[in-house]
Amino acid sequence: MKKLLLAACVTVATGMGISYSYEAVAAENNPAIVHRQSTYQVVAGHMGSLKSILFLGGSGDAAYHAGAIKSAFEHMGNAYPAGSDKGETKAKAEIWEDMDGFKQKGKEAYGATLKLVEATAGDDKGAQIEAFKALGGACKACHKNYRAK
Amino acid sequence: MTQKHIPAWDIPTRLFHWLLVALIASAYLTYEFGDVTMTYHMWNGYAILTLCLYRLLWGLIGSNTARFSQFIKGPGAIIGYLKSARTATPQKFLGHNPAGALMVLVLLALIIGQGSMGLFTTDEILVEGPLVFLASSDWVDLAGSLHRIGFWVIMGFVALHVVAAFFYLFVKKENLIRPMVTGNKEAESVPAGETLQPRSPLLALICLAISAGVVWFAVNIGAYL
Repeated sequence: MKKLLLAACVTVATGMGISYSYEAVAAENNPAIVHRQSTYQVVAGHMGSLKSILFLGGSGDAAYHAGAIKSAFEHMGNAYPAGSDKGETKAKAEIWEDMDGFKQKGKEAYGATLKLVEATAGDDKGAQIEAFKALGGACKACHKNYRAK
Repeated sequence: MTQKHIPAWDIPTRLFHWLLVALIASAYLTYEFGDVTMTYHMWNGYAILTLCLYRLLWGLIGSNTARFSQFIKGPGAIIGYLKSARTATPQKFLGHNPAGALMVLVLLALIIGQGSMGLFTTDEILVEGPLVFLASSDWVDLAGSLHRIGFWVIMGFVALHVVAAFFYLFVKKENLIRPMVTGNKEAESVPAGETLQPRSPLLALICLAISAGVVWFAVNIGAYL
């Protein structure tokens, strides 16, 4: 009886493992989703580097990372075309229902990025930290309404 | 000689209770209105974890009314108590009644779970809990979801806890809130002959220090791996 129970557990666990990894294999191939997610990851990478420089005492060129974020945003292109709400994406339907509001959030994030670029051109670390936090806040403000948790 | 007031709750347990109330409130406030770096929210969480771990230790070696072995009862006792609570002569307890004991356990478990999940939560922008690096992104997603949902679950049980306290106050005319402040219960609401057997507050401080050490170690575990 115990052996039977064990076998059942193993079978269920294996089944879960297979279906889980299958999901991972069936990766997203909608070009808009792949492109925007990859570019956001670039932004996230530079945010991490800035966090290291500004908060953790890491060494690096803050102006480079700020400029790279600005550049990434400028190369987003048409990141949310119709139909790109379906797939492995956390983009909420609200984006397409309220495209103007969504684009406004994007503009605010870009504006915060410009201020970060400006701050990192100078030597005032306090101003850089404030600009970095403001950009983080702009990201958060958009995620709150338009990105699924 | 008959006393009117019977000591029921020791100072460490009362301080624990009200500090936890304050820290849960500030956990919300530091999340909702705090800095985008969440610095205070995270420190707040470490404090809550420390406090709750301390309560687990105090539940093992603390004063009699604080000890789990004294107040945790099975389902039969809980149902029995709830039945008696509807009669004119409810069962009396110096410390937690069996139903309240269940609430203590549920809230402690939920709050420790909430704090622990927070250690694995990230905002995916610039804040990472101190243990995010240990877990795969799927587990971090799950922990974050649990941390966000956990708030509402805890609020639900807190609401039930508060409603129950006011139900006792206004309907059953027994004030359970004042003893949690003063430490004393009315003699007629306590079984004859029972009283608080306090353990030294110094022992409580040692428990608190051990808990703080455990939380500190968990938060900084990256340095030891």
